[in-house]
Formats: sequence, structure tokens, C-alpha cells
Amino acid sequence: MTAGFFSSFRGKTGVSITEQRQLITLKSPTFQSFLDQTFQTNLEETLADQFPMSGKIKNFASTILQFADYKKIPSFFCRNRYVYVNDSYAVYDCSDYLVGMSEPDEEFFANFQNHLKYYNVLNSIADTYYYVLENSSSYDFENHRLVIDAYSLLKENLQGDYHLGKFQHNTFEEYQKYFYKSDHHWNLYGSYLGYTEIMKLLKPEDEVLTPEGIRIISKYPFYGSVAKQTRQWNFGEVFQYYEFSLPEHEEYIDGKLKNYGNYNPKDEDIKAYDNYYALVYGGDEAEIFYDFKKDEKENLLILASSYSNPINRLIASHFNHTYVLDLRHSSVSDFRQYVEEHDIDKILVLASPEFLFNARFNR
Amino acid sequence: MVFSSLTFLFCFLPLLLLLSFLAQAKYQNAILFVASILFYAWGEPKYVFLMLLSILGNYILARVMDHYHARKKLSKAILFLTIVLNLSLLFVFKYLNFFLQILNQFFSLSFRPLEIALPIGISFYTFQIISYVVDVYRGEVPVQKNLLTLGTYVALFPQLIAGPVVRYSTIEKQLKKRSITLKKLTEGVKRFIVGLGKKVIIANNMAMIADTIFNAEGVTNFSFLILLIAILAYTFQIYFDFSGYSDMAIGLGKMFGFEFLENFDYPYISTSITEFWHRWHISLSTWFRDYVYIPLGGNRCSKPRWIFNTFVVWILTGLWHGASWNFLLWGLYFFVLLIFEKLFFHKVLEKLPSFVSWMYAFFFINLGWLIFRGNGLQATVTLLFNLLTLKQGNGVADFVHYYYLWNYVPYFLPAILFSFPVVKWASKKIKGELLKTWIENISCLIILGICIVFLIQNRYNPFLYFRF
Repeated sequence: MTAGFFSSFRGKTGVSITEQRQLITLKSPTFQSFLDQTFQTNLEETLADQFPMSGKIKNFASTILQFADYKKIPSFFCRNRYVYVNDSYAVYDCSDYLVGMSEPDEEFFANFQNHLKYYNVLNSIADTYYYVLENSSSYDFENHRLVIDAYSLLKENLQGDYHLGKFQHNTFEEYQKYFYKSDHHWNLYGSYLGYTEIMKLLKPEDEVLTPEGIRIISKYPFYGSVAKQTRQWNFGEVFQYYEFSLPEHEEYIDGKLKNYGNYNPKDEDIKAYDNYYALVYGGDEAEIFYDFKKDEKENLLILASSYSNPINRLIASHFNHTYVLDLRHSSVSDFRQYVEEHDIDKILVLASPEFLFNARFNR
Repeated sequence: MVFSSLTFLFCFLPLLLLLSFLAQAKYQNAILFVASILFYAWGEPKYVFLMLLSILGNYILARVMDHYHARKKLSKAILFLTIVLNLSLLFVFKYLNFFLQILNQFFSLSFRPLEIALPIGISFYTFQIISYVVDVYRGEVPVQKNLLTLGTYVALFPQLIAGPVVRYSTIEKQLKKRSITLKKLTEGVKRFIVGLGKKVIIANNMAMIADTIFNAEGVTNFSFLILLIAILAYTFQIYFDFSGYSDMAIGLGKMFGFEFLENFDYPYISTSITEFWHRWHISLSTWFRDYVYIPLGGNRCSKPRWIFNTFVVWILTGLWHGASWNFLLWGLYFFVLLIFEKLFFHKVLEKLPSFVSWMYAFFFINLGWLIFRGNGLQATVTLLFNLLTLKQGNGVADFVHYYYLWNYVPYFLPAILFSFPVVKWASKKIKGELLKTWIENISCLIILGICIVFLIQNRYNPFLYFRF
């Protein structure tokens, strides 16, 4: 029993080497944190997270629980309607797609107003491009309406010179084509379409890269973050990704030379229940720097959430230096200085709903 | 801190057990007292001083009362003062806002509710203290001259936040001298694991169903079927949660050398409401019997007076569970049922086949839980109406949480099964002590393993007793 107790004090670095993930770490207690019980909550979360083999235990439990938890829903209950699996996710039209459900509230718009301030700074310091990406939580498929029209919202509120584009899918059928069943991200078709449309905005004269083939992870099903979050283990799918041939280049993560993403994972790299989206394309990092060593070309800054992970390097191949900042992890707040220091010519803002309305992207 | 947390299981309990084993007998109470204060402060840091103040105040008053024991009137006055002070404390923290709400409603006043949080466990420790003071006054137990010993009794962490209501007389001797043996420790650990399993595996999953439905928007329009599932889920949740906590308390008591009395005895097998209350939260019903009902005259009086005595007990029982109209109605509901049973129905019940009388009792117990759980009086009345008129609302077809609900239905099976004494029955069938011990040990290990997995997963783990 005490093993768990001592486990809370290991991992001072906050990284689990065996599970290759960030750990929740125990913060030093203070009188105030004890009084407001944040210390108590932190200790409980740390114990749960750092419990020996907690990742394996969770995976094992999830496998077992799928048999207890899943019951197929009869079609007359779900035809052309949402059936919720929890407060934030639902299944629509008896499909095998888990879709996000959210209604914008005051906090959404407060965050947007916060973001607008730095968007307008971006417009004034470089040639700035906004590419609006709508996912399932943007749409109410049942009533055929946009829950939140991010494109119009940006158009009405952005100041100065800028370029605006949009990844459009108007129906549930289209949505199914471009997104994962169990994850909120766009799939290989969606992200490739996004890449081609973004390039039409950024460099219409450039020829886009063409995929050389499709690779498949068939060893285990892919359970996206939504399936994991809602424990809907019947939503496993085959993870596919495009293979591209890219020019020689260097990738840096937070200033260190290393590969971003494992584009050709071997069988031994693939573990059950892993996040293959992060495995193949790369995870969320504060700063990724691509150096394609094409001095004659421009430098690009991408501000995005995890939606850009599959297309970062594709876009970067059209530029000399490309910097990708994830504002949830990066501490950069003076964009003027950053743009000057890195000699940025163009800025791409991949405006997913999360990026536009989430407080984690506030500055 | 709650028992069903990793902090308790992996930090607090092992360290405390280790300390207890290493320490000499004379330090046992001090260790338990300090640990209990830490346990309480962990979840209620601001109100720990209120409990300490209460311990000190009652210690002094009981000593003074005992000092003047020969002067009946004076000692009675001190007893009265002590009870009033204890109940006043309870009133301020638990009932004052409800009282202001009543004044506002009935006299069109506009008192603003005070920002007072209810200290966890205040009802339990106040009742324990009152029982101690009354027993001292009655001469049933000697006054406790050691403040630390009295403090250990009141703050004793196994029963502090969710009961059972342990009387001073039950553990008076154990507070002075107790032995911690391997046999008791083993029994305690097993009992604790059984309780943990009841809470984490069954009650929490039942809570997920009940809370999902009862807290859903438009619940009053849901159909009979959905409401039935919600009520059944809550019926099992409250039993497995409450009896689970009691099992854990009894188990922990054993680990530290105490013997607490049983608090639940398969209440859902009852064939009458009277029997149900002999099997449900036994420590509370016997407390009310000994400290309210009998002093009022019990049943050795005229019929109207007996009805009045019963009425008082059930109104107080209702209010003990929380300050709201729902709890008051719930108490009243059981008062009516019990009076009806005792006056008219008990002879009919005796003649009915036991399955029919079980159905009768189970139906009314469930209805009682609907009143207990309801979100406000108006919503509860509407729900009751919908249920009793078998209303076909839009709950089945359009109920958006239908899918979610299905995910938890399999947990009903163990809930139903373990509401009956199947383990007792199976235990009798197994021949050979060694085999029985092995089965018990392996079952406990499996239950503990599942509980740890559920706790690591951060599954739904509500705390029911914040209102008690």
C-alpha cells in the first residue's frame, strides 16, 4: 500500500521515462494551499497519476470495462438526432462518429476579445493569414446551423490588413469525410485538403506536395481522445496517414535538434491505446522550428493548436525557416519582438474553435 | 479526507497503522487524536477549531455537572445548558438559513441567507457528545477526566464524518485499554475492503445513474420508466454508500482495537417499514429511541401522546439528515407509514405472503428515497405525481442521456445481489475454515484491486454526507 505513497515523491523531473509522458507533480504545500484545499487535491491527483504503472492499469481497466460499459443503441433512438455520451460529446445519426457538443457562452467571447488584441498586433507587424477551421462542435447537424460562425466573427472584428480563408464542410456527410471517428482532429483527407487550401492563401504560385502513398497502422485500433475521454471503446478505427517525400531539412523542438513526429513508426513503436496522431505527426510543443535551408525563401510563423501538427512540415517545406508556436505551452507574448528577432515575413493563424475561444490561448 | 481516496489509502492509513504498532499503549490515544484532527482538517481545515472548542466546552461542562451530581436540580440545569449549547451550535451551522428561509416565506420577510458552510460531520459528533453528557448525567458512565481521551472519542476518525453514531458507553473501556492483534487487524482490513468495494464499485456507479437523471434538465417531464431507474439507482447508491462507510468505519475501528456496533443489517430485505428502521442506520434510530423517544414517554402512555412522541422523533430524524423541506417531508412520510403500520396494517402484513409484504415495503422505501433525493419540494411533488400516475413523458424517446445510462446498467446486478445476504448464505455453504479463509482473502484482494483501478481512473466519487 505504501508503494503508492512513496510513488508520489518520485519523478521530480515531472516526466515518466517508462510511460513517456508528463506527470502531475506534487507542489510544495503552503498554509494557504492547505486552507483552500488545493494541496489536498494536488496530492490526490499526483497519487493517481504517479501510481506505479498507472498508465498500464488504466489501459487494462479500459479494456475490461468496455465489455461492461458498451451497449449498442437501437436505431430508432438515434436516427437524425444526437445521443449524448457525456456532457460534451454525442453520437449523431446512429453513426460511428463521436462529435463535440458545445454552446458558446460569455467566457468564449471574453477569450475571443482577449485574442483579438494580439491578432490585431499580428496584422500590423507581418503579412498575416487566418485560416478558419470548423470542427464538429462548430455545427449543429440536427438543425443544420453553425453554432458559432468563427469566419464572420473574425471578419467583423479584425482590424488592419489580413487574409482570411476557411475550411468548409456543411453537412454531416462532409464532416465524416474529413474527420476522425473517435478524435476531434481532422484526418489525413481533411488535413491534406487544409494544407492545399492554406497554400493557395499563402503562396498561390507554389505547387503543393502530392502524397506518395497511404500508410496504415493496423496493429491496434486507434482510439482518439474523445473515445478515451468518454470511454467509448467501440469507436476504434484504423489510423491512416499520407506519406510524403520532403526535401532535406532540420527540425528543432524548443531549440533542440530532434525529429518532430515519427512519420514511419515501426511495429515495436506502436502500442495499444497510444495516441497515434501524436506518434505520427508529433505532439503539442511550445516551439517547433523547421529549417529547410532555402535562404531565398521567406520565413513563416504559425500560431496554432494541435490541428496544425499533420501539416506543419508540409507548409514549412515551402519556406526557409518556419516557426510553430503553441500558445498553450509557449511563453511568447511579445509577438512584435518575436517577429523581428526571427525575421518573419508571414504569419499563419490556424483558427480552430479551440484556438479562437479557449482561455489557454489567452495572452 | 474520505476513506475512498488514494491519499487515505496510501498515505494516511499505512503511516498511522505503522505509528500505532510502533507506539506504546499509553501513546495510542494521543496518536489517534492527532491523526483524527489531521483527518478532519484535511477536508474541513476552517472548522477543525469548532470541533476542538466543542470538545473542550463539553469536557468542562460534563466535569462541572459531575461535580454537582448530588445536587439534582443544579446538575440537571447544567445538563440542560450543555444540550442547549450543543444544539445551538448545530442550529447555527445547519438550520439557521433554513429557519430564515421559513420566516421569509411565511411572514414575507427578507432576511438574507448567511454565508455559513456546514461543517462536515457536525451532526454525528454533536449527537455523540450529547449521548456522552446524558449518559454521564444518568450515571450510566463515569465522567471522563482525561481531556485527551474525550477528544479521542469525539474526533475518532473512523466514525467522524459518516458515522455510525458511536456511543461513549460502547467504547468507554476500549478508550482506556485496547489491544491491537493480528487477528483483529486482519478482520478489520477485510471489513474495510468490503466497505470500500461497496462504495467505490457499486455506490459510485449507481450515483452516476441517479445524478445523471435527477440533475438533468427537464427531469420532471421524464417518463415513469426513466424515473424508476433513477430511484432504484439512488436506492442502491445510498445503501451501498452509507453501509460501505459504516463497514469501513467498523473495519478501521477493529484495526485500531475498537469494536463498533453494526449499523446496517440488509435493510432492503425488510417486509415492513418498521422492520426497515430496525435494519437501517441502526445507530441513529437507537439514538433517537434512547435520547428522545423514551424520555418523551415512548409507548407507555396514551395513544395520542404516543403518536405525538413518534411524530417528534420522525420530524427530528428528517431534520437530522439536512435542513430542507424535503428532509422534513421525508421524516413526516415515515411517521405516517409507521403509525399506519402499527395502528392498522401490521396484522394484515403478518398474514400476507412474505414476497408481497416485501414488495410493499420496498416500494415505500423507494418512494421515500425519491423524497429524500429530490431537488426541492415542488420538483419532488411533480416527480412523485409523474411516477404514481405512470406518466408517459418524453423521457424515454428523447432522453439525451439514454446512451450514458445504458453504460451503467450492468452495475445494477451486483447492487441487487449484494442487497441480499448472499455472502452470508454462501459462507454457510462452504465447508472448511481454510477454504473459506482463502476465498475471503482472494475476494478481498480482487475487490481492493478493482477499487484502486477505479480510484486511479478518477471515476465519479461523490461524498454524500456533506449535508448530515
